[in-house]
Amino acid sequence: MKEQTNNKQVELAEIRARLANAHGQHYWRSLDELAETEEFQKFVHNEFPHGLMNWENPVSRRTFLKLMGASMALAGLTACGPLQPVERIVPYVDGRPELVPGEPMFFATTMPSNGYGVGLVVRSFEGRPTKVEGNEAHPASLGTSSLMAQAAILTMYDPDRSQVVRNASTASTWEAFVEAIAPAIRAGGVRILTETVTSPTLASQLQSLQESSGVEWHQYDPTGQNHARAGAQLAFGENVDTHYRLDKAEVILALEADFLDYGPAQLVYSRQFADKRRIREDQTDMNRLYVVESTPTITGAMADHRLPLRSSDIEDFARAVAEGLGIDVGGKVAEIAPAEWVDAVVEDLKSHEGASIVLVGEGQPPEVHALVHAINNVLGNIGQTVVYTDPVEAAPVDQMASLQALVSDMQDGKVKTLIIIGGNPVYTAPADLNFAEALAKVNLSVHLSLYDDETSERCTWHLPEAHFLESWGDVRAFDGTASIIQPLIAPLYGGKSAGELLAALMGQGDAAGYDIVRAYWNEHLADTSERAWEGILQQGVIAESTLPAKKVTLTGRSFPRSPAQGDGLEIVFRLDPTVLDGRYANNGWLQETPKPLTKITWDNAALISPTTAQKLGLTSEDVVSITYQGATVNAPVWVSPGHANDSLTLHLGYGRTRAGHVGTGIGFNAYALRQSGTPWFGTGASIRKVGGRHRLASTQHHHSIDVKNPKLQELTDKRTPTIIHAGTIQEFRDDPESVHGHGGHGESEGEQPSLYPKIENTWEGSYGWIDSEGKWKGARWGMVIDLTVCTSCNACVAACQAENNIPVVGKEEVLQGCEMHWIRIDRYYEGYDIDNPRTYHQPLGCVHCEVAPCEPVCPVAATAHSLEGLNEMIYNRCVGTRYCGNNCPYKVRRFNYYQYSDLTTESYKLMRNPDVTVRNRGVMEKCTYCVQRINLTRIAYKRDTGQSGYVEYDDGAVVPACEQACPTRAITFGDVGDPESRVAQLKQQPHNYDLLGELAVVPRTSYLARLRNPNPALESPTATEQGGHQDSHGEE
Amino acid sequence: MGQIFRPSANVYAKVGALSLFYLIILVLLALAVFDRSNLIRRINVPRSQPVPFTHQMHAGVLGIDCIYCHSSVEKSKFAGMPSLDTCMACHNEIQGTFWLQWLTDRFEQKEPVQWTRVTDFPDFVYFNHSIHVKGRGLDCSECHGVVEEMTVMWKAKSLTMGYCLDTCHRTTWNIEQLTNCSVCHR
Repeated sequence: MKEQTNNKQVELAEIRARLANAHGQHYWRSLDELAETEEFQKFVHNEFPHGLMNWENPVSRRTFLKLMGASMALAGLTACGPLQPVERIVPYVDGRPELVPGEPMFFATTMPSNGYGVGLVVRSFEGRPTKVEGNEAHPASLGTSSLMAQAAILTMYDPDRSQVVRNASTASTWEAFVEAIAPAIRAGGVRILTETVTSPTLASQLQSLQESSGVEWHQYDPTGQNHARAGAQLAFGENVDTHYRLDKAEVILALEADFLDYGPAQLVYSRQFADKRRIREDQTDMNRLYVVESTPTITGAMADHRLPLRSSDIEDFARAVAEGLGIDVGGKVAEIAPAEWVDAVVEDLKSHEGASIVLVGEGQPPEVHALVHAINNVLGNIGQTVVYTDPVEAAPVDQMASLQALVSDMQDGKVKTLIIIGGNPVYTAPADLNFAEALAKVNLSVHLSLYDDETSERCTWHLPEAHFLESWGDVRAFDGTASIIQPLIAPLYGGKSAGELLAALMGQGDAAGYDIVRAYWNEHLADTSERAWEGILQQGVIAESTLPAKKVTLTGRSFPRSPAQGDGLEIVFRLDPTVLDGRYANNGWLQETPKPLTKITWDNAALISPTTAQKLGLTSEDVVSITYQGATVNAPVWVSPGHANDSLTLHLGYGRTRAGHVGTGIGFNAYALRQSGTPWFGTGASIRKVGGRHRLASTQHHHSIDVKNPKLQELTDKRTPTIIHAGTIQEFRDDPESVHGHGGHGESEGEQPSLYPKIENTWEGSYGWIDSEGKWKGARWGMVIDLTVCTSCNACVAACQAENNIPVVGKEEVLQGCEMHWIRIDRYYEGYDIDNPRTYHQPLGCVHCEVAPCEPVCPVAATAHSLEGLNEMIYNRCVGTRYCGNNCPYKVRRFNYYQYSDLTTESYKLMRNPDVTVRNRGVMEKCTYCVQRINLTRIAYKRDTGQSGYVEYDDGAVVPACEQACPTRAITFGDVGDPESRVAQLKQQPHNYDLLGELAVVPRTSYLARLRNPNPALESPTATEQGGHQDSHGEE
Repeated sequence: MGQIFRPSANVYAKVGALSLFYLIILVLLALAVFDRSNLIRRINVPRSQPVPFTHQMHAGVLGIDCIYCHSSVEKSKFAGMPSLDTCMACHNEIQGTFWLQWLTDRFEQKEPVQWTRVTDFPDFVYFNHSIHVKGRGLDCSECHGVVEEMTVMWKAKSLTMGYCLDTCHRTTWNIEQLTNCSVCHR
């Protein structure tokens, strides 16, 4: 890929000047669009602007002809053997009646995610897990799943996972390890380092190890909740976990709390939050979310009011709010935020006592956590919307202190043997601790992990760990509910679970994971019968293990400010939205999932605000060197609208040196700057431009809908279609139709010039088929996506990828616009303030137009309409002309320019969904509404209910992968022809609209307009249209 | 110098060129026909199996129902091949030949038999047995022929897309839903 040197740069000053004179509602995709850079223009006018990239490669004509000749010869050879290759059928030796070949089985299990469990139901074909879904019975899942859960399957099949026990540099065996470790345990000086442990079995094993052999146990997890724990200590004098009941909250203030994207209760909070925002014609009550944060997050994007503040200033904001609520915070409160903002928040909280929540993120220091507990106490929220329980963790400790103690003992030579279970401390430990150097002083070190990673490399022994889908175990959810981790498959690479390793340390090297877990629960369950146990496995939850709410009394009454940090550029560390702390670095699905706001794939970047960028003379993709506390890293800059000024966000999890083929050597390592004293933010960073540019593969401009295209405007009667329909809840109450602006529902109204035949956009007149009596037959599939509750968490993107065998293409191909995701989540900004725009998300897959423009242009009829209204793609017929993609106004078709699907790696063959074709090079593909699920449901109905002819489906009988995964239930799929179905009801809503409906292509997927609930005190209803505009004046 | 070619050579050349042209067409046609022939499509071509199992004895003479061995035919897309213990249910008692001993050895060594697939759809076809047999009530012989008379198994029908459409999907069943592409290709 050649460097784009002559590209017009984003001139922020110019953008501001232009925006200052703009009026009306204004949506924009990115700063590049505002600056009208060449790069953006290219992507808008041409789906694949860099053309056929293979011609750019230095392949001479001679080489080309040679290659062509060779492939012709090969083609000739295959033609000589017209016989189908012989296939073998290998039946079982001992059949089991429940094993029906070809039919999937479903098993409940639990995914341990940073120590906390999320219940899953995994689909398995002939013993091969192929798809993860949420478990409705599990309190942390509620039937939905996260991005990480969806991608877990790829990690399990990852051929890069370590496959052999290694001692120093030679391959060894588990038995040799068991033999070698016994004397070391007896010799004493043994330490165990784990991540957060909630597992009852592991906890009891660790306890008996501590008692029997004097082993000391340390915990460290970069995602650990140290500040929250210390904050609770300060406030209540005891260790408690805080839980929120967002389903009871009318007003929510989140202080850098990204509760919709991270944390053990992410799925639950997302659902509860969304349930209070599902606006229907007869339900117009809506909660209100205020977010104060430095880094733009998806929680901030959902906010009704968002205030960008430096992380180090958020404490002052919290103190101002506390003072406003009558809490004596002592000392003067710095005025950091606009006074009207603080006043409005305080008033709103006051008027919703007992029905409000103030949340604070782990990044804030313990003092802020303690203050927030006091605020919730004053508001009467405790016991109502904020509930406390005993800690879920088995041994809650300050993990940073625990690691520091361990490292200093290692330095002092007190540690003879160190056993690291999971985690990757050499990579994740704060830079000042110098864990790697301390590790070298330990005689015998053991690392159990999925990958032979940075830590394994420096340990004497490396043991391959069994993935959670391969091993027995147990784990507690955020609310304490225990559940069993049930394996779906025997370990692919002979890994051992943490429980098996601990048993080996206790001299039981051959203990099986199942026996260990079963033995523990036999002692702790009332009913130990086989039947009860099977019930637990089937349900996926151990009943009555949820922790009861605990009564707490606020003891901390003084609220000193945490040590003030100096001025200067602030540096903020955040977990990466896709690879987290780096543990998922080798997962191609997660690497290629665009980060929710920056849309960057395969990289991390230093995020800064437009103002700061202007001040420092930086633009996106400039390489800078960042110095903090004496350490320096080089990183590309990304200008991120909505970021706090004078602040710099670095995402952890990149710059791995030993992650595997996928994750090694991409991005930069932000841990190198992270200090144990200031783990989440600190001030005094310096930034210097070093020259050169690093291309970041942001998908933001890819597949852009070109609404300003003159041809489109001609088709739509000179109107510019509005892609996002949005409004405030008050406007909606006054006039539900107002959210559509001038464009109406996006339906074809009146006589418009159109290329296509006139179609009434009423479901009675839609595409389908009629019987002799004029009645509709069969289903008419359709979908509605509620933009008000979509958080853009990306779970649907990964679910679609897993269900439909969508390949990973790599950074170079993403740069060309060749990513293959069938769902993309478009991000739009609104407003004239580039430092704090409103953010909108729009998930978009194939919308299954009834008058699909792609169909008439296909010369081989490879894309055709089914009579249930699906726009079908027939891969075996496709010859790859790409006319359909060219003619698609939504740009949702994806073409296999290369052989993206990995057809050779053995383990990936097991992973694929056998009901969906694995596409080859040269084939177009796109969302099918999960047609395989529709067909399997139809077959099951006809087979098992005796229906014949046209099947009448129950509503909700067919659930596509995206709908199934969606944590907020923003996606609804069903038969739009059935007036009773959920989807048909939603299509009747006044705020339902068709995207680009002006084209009269009659899409089957429609959207519910995005509604906000602004505080009238901060935004007068009449000023909505240019609210952002006024803000920008205020800021400057 | 005398002429090398006599005038009649023109005729030979013309006839030769013309015949070559027709020959090429003929060869191509023959190839096309050959490609579609029963031999290439393996229709009515007996397929050898690792063990000389005979449907004629089991299904014909003994009258064992197809579903006894192909047990998932009403539940799954795949009709199912009998696991070895299904064979041994009877052949524990019925013993005495070389091949039965071979089978017993396989069972005892837990080594599955690798059968040759006789009816093999291309990978882009998603055929489902259960809907045809249980849902639609088709007899196995509609597609598989008179299996109870076959000593060695062969494919009895072409089972091409044209066969499926012309025999049932577009004719006797006559439901538009069943001619949607995605019914078989996805």
